[in-house]
Amino acid sequence: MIEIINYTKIIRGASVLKNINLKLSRGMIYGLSGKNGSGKTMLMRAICGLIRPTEGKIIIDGETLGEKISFPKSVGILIENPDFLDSETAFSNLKLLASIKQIATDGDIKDSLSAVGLDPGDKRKYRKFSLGMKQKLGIAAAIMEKPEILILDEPLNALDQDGVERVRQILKYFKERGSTVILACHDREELELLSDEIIKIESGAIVP
Amino acid sequence: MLKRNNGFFRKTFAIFMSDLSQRSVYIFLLIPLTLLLLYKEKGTVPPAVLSDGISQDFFRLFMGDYRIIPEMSYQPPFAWILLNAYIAFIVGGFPFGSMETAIITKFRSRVSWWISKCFSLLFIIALSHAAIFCTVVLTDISELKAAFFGFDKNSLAAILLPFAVSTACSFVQSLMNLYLKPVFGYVLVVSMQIASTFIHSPILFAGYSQLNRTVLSNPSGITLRLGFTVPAIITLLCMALGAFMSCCIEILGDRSRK
Repeated sequence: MIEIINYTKIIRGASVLKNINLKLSRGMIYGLSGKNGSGKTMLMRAICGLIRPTEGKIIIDGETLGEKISFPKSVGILIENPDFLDSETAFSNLKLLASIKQIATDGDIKDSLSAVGLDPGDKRKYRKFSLGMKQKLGIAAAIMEKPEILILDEPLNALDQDGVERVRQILKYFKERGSTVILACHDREELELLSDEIIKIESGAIVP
Repeated sequence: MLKRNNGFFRKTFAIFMSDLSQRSVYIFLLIPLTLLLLYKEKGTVPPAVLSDGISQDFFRLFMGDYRIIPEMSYQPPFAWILLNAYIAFIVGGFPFGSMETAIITKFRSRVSWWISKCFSLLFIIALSHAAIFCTVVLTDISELKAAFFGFDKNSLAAILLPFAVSTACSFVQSLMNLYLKPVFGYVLVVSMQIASTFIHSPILFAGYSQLNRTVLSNPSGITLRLGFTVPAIITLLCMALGAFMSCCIEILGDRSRK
């Protein structure tokens, strides 16, 4: 359970998030909807612990971010353009990331690559990847440790129809295993199709 | 406790591999740069206090300010400036590189992430100086035996002092990069390094690695104890300050600070 209580964030005098109050449950897919610059990505960054609140707090499974823990214990993120090591393959990039927590095995890495439609044995370096492949690798990195919180910002960007269908399957899988999925997408129809609940954000505030 | 330490080493190693992967080419390029500078600096007479050719070559590279007395005319020490500026370039976007958003969220706290980044930076600087050292050794292969068995205190100091000061400069640069764009951190550190070549001031601590200013060249110069102590204190101070500052920074994107 993620509880966001009176969360306000001010950056250089501008309120990017205004008094956000939310409760996000397990096994649900939440879709964030709003214009560019409305605060969707900032809210996702806040839940990840990447930005600190000016006021308010975020409690994840009873632990407040910024107190005992700086980041959620189990989170997979894809925020904006994914960035990896140019000189490494998809598998080596994920292997390096997985070595930090050592939760994901080589098998999990291969499974996550296959799930997004990338070949785990592909020897091409990341710098040779197309935009869609980079996006897929970003999604694979987010899901390889089977996180309890999955945050995907515009996961459908640059994906072909097959890629979109794969993302749908991935979201369904994480919902069924009880993860909290937070999703932002510009395609309103797709967002409504994928989400259990839509959260609309305007100028940093949640609107009913 | 052991398990916790293993976790820290594992995370530090992963960060180091990520940082190294982004910088390995630039570290490798230190070899031809060192060769070029060694060739250029061949005409300089080494001091008698260093007995072996390897430390004498090191002395040539990191001699810095040529003036023994302030009344002598200033000549920019190109080798010293280039090597230091290049190492500052290698440090570059520390602490925010590729995958940093994904990496940092795998840590439990921002402080542990910063400490791991510090160790990673230390290894990167050590590797950079190792590349310079190996190049010097290879150009003076006949002195290889001395390199491993016969180094005296002065020779070791000539090799390790530039590393110690380089580490301190890099930590200051990384600390600045927590808030500033990398280009500003780079310009500030290199400006301090260049300023230290013609201004004798303890505040411009980069000057401690100019071996011509130390007791190795001048009996009334900077003592080795001071030369090593000041960078060590600055490095530790930066680690502590960075641990504090890392708790307050906003992480708004990979490579966003370039």
